[in-house]
Amino acid sequence: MTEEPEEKHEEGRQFLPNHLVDEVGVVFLITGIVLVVASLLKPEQAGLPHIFFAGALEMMSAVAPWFATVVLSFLIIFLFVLPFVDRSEERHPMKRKVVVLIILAAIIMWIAFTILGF
Amino acid sequence: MEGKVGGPASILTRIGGIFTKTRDWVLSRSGLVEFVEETEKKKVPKHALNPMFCLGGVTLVALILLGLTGLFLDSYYEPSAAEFTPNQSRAAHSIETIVDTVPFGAYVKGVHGWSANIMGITILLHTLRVFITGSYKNPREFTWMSGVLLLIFTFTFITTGYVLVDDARSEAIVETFSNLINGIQNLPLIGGALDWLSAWVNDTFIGSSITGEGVLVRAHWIHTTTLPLITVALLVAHFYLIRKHGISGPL
Repeated sequence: MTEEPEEKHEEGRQFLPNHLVDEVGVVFLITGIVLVVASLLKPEQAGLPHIFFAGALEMMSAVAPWFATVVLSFLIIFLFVLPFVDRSEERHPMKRKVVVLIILAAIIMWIAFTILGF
Repeated sequence: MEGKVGGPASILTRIGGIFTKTRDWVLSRSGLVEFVEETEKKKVPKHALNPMFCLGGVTLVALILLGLTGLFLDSYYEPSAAEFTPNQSRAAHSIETIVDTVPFGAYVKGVHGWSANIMGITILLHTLRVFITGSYKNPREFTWMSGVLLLIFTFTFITTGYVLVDDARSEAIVETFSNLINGIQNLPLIGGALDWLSAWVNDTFIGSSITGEGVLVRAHWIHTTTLPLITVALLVAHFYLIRKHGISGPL
């Protein structure tokens, strides 16, 4: 069985009630922002999800469908099994160059296809 | 400082006493004494006071707003591709009714849409933060895996929600999904052997037509029944694991 690595935490602030009060404040703030935005803009303007799919749509038209299927499936499976692929104890991104490069390439690809397709 | 009997300070002391007694009564009856005592001892590490550590919480707030507004919208939505007018399905018409006729309908639909946008963005940023800080490593493998599943289901939520709108872009989304699934049978070497898989997924979820009745009914069922149940179960597991293993240490 793998041992859990020791983690050193700097002494922080009390969760109850100090941090919880702040968290509740953030909840109200986010809810307030959504309510105000929704009251200022028309419902059909909440069409931002197109940003999430523009990349996939563009990719489908730019490359062969089987290639898009392979790339997307690879990314999903890679993300899911990441803790078992990157088993080193290093947590700093500069010391995990291979996995960081793979994810960076995926992000750049997604942004590029989204810009092309939007 | 002791307040005069009947003075403002005395009233506050009394209110405080009532609050403490009520809290103690609720805790003793609900069996939560140990849970609260343990939580009272917990401290949030300094590095985790960064707003980037708040993104998971913001995603949860957006999900709660989506659930509440979704219940309202679903009571008026009609998942039917049957024609209402030659250019409009019954589903699209029910959405038009929500926006134009139902009191506060446009507002609630707006909150639903914007919450979905916020949730999509914050869950991506939250995943990126966890990746950058390497917080998926031992002993948090299951926390990460449950998070990746939640990410996938969030986008399935957004996809099926988009399909329910039943406009031209909904068709494009269904067509993209269909093409991705058909892509399986064109895979070099193994495509032929996986032919049955793409046929099964296509037949089960899409049927004979990408704009058909079946697509809407199944997207509605997935969006309002299956996904909420799976998501809540995964969230419970995710929070349990976060509580068990705590927040990862600083880099």
